[in-house]
Amino acid sequence: MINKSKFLVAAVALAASLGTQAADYEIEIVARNLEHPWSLAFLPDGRMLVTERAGRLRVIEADGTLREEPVAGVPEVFVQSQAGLFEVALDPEYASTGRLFLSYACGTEAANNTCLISARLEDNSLVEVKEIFRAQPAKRGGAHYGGRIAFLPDNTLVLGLGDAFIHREEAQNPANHLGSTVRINRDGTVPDDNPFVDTPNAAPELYTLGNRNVQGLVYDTANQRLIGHEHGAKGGDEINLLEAGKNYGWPKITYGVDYSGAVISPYTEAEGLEQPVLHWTPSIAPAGLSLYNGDMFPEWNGSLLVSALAARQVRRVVLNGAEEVAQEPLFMELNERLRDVRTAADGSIYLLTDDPEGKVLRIYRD
Amino acid sequence: MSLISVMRVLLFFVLAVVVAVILATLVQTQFNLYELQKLGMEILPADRIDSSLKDLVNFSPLMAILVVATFIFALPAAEGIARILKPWRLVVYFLAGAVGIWVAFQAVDWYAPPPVFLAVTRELPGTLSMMAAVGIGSGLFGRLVRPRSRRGLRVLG
Repeated sequence: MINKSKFLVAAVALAASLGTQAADYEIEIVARNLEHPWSLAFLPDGRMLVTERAGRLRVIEADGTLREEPVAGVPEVFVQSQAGLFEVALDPEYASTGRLFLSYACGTEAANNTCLISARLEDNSLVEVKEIFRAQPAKRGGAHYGGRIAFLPDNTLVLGLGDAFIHREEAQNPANHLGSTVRINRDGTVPDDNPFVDTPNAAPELYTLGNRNVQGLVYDTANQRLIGHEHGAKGGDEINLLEAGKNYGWPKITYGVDYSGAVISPYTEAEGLEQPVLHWTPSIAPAGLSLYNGDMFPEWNGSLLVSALAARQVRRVVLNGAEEVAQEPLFMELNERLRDVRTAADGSIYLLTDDPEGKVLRIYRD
Repeated sequence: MSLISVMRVLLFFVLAVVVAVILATLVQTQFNLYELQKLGMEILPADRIDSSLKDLVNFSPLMAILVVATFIFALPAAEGIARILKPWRLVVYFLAGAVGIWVAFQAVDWYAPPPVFLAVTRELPGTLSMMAAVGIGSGLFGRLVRPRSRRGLRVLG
């Protein structure tokens, strides 16, 4: 049984802005005392995997018990500021391959970037660990790694990356991976139909460019599109429809300004550069993304759920095609920085709180 | 020191801060726009002016804090050194502001989460230009508060 220490009962969502019916739900703490939990994956046997930014992969047993011993065999992780262990994602063919993927910051303070491994989980250890991607070039400091993973219908893997903060102009450089998304096969090889594979001097893994710091990725099967969100600076957080070979503009165009207040670009649009579906100015700091499809909250079916750090909420976003038609803040009563949001098979919603003593929360309705 | 003298020094201090902040703000705007130009963006004159004005409104408050904090330490130190190196007074004051703001940048980068907080200071040309802008402000202060030179023929003593 999952720990039933409920701390809020029958909260009423703030649905007034949408005119939707109020959503009754309950919130329970599934696990606690996780150091900046970053990502959650559901195993087919009812267990869950949770990454801690501090570099640990943890197992939550099917009965809700957080296994004390972290999973062994996780590669050495560079932990500093935003750097650490990021996403855990199961292979789309996990039932047959047993493989999972982990993204993390690798290297040293002077030379690091985002790495991706595949491995198999046996007992409480990772085996057959293989590094399948390492973003280039190595950069200094502990900022802007991206790290989110999504799978396309052909089972290729898309990984969101960041611009390292100090190399924002490199997001426009197709010769490297900074400020981009990349698409690779699950063994790390490059798909033949990648958009820049025949472009001289371009990184063949590149899928999109002009992205600042991708923090959410989800494939929308119903509409056959890849949706991503990314952090702007001060303002300019964006949701984008990510299409192969397209340039999303950072830093040539942006709706945000630098943290110092300085203008990054005078322009918010330019020829050849994609516009976001929506932008948040001021920033909400989106940090996780789920496309809700479940029986528990049918009124939210088809909505994007965006967990937010600065705004301390889940922002429900309703799209009609490529147009945003409505937004609604959810779970603000938690008053927590929310790092990730996931939809479970039963339609309940799982949240990770961004805290040194972070929690896994479950939103459900009886 | 009389009240008038104190007010005079304060006025010159404020003037030096204003000059340093305006120069530094405009310098960083041009460097940021130059980075976009290197990416192939054409920056129209009106957009350059608009960005500069926006930065004078939105960036200059942070720059003012850094410059004031720098000058509080750097200018008295410069005065002390300048009394020893009298012929180099202007250079001493210039360097005091320039080196002082560099120290301030390092302090901000140490404290703030991003590896380099101010984009203009990511590379040497930008950093040196910002140091020079603030150095002009501190040099101006040194020039304005310099001791009056004695005029005329000194016959005795």
